[in-house]
Amino acid sequence: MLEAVEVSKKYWDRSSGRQYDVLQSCSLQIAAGEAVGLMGPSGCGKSTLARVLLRLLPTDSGRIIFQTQDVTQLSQKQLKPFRQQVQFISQRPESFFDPLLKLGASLREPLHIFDLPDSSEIIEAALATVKLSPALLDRYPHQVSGGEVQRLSIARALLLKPKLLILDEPTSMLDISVQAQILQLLKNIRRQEQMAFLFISHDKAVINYMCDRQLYMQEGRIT
Amino acid sequence: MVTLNSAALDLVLHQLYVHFPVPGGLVRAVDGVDICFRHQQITGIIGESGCGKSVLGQAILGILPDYVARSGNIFYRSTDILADNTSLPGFYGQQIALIPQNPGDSLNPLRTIGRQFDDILQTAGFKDKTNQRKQQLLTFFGLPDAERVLAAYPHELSGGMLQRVLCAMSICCSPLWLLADEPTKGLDETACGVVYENLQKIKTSQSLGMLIITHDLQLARSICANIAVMYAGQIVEYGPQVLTGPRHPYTQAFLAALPENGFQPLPGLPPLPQDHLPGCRFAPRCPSCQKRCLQEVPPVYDSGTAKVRCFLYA
Repeated sequence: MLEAVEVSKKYWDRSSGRQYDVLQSCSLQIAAGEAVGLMGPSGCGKSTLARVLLRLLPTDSGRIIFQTQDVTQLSQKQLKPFRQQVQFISQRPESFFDPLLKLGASLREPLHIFDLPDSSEIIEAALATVKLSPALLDRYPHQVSGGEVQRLSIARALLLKPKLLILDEPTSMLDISVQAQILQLLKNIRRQEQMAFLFISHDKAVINYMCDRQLYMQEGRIT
Repeated sequence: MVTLNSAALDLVLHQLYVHFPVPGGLVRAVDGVDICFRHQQITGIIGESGCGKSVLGQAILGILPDYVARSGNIFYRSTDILADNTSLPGFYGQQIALIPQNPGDSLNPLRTIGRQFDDILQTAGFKDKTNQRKQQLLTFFGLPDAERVLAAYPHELSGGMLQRVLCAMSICCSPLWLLADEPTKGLDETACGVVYENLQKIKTSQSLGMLIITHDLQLARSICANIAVMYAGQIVEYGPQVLTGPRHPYTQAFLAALPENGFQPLPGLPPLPQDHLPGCRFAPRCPSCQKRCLQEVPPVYDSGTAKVRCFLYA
């Protein structure tokens, strides 16, 4: 479903002129419905790889192929179907919600962007999947807990019926009881929707629990 | 849970309430906490997000915003520090110090580490013109190139180095109490290892009392002599064997969510902080709930190994 072929990425420190090889010839494959874990220490390039795979950052070299199509050089307009089918869940979901918009409006945003039908039933069904009350729709992001805002970000991603979820440390900021709830929820969603996951975490127990196989990253390389 | 024969350096919380006024009611963040934290002991305060752990820590540190309603007492050195901590010399730094969460966000990005060290020392009335004390502390916490670290700005140091710097800063005025607020939150395994190692170093080298607010149960298990479990603003269980032999149904359910227990989620959601339940706050989610639990607030019972707020131990 998603393939990265020899992807490399460098960052430059403009003040010192130094260059950092953040990703070095990284290759991986994720099959339809498969859950792949990506582990590694902080700063090894996991989050950069996620952003490159999502085409949020450009690659310096290498290719990204989604469902047989090379998406590496596609324009933002051409990327629209890819954006719908590959969704991102972050460790800081609150930063994905406009603090000045009520959660209901934020939840509807992707439906408008992708010209999808918008109705209360659709929104409430998505909320029911993540076990949240529609009463939250009238609140602002700062008025809900960390666990609730993470569920909302999952609900928003599910509204687009993606084929692949890239999850970057989705539970690292949550306490163990909320973490268990979110992991259980993601597991159920994956089973029901036959969705593929790229699950990034530094927690081996979480990766073992969630994933079919795991990859390890160190100093910009997948080992 | 208050012990009447507590020593002067113990922190004794008596009927502590901290309520935040919000439109349409009150958020009962801390709701009737009675506990004695022993000096020269490490106590862990655990519980899920929003249970009131950090607010309890803020009440002890005296850094609650002015608009917050508070009542009860926090006795320390024969003084009620909830009412007034200004009569104790060097309250911040010498009496009690804080290791905050998020090392990167806790330091001033515009001042060097050395200057920020000086700020703390000057506030407490110390001087360290030769940098000897600072260098000793940084070396103690595994930063041998102390001179470079003191000249560096926070963005020039890694997360692990900043964590070590904060630990060094926290004990630079030799405090009698140290409060660590979620010291491992969001950190990877390597960075967590640095925190464990540093707290162990403080434990063995300093004669102080320590409160560790955390949901990292591995940390709590490895370092704490006593554990207090908080749920919806109350301490529901307290004792030395809480993690090995939990008594309260909430503690049992909370520990079931650990990886080694299969990530079993706790059903339902905690009560909204504005809700005033007539009975036990955990009753709506409790597998052992009885009729009485929904009507009466359970007192604290001594179950032998722990103090438990549950009718099962009546």
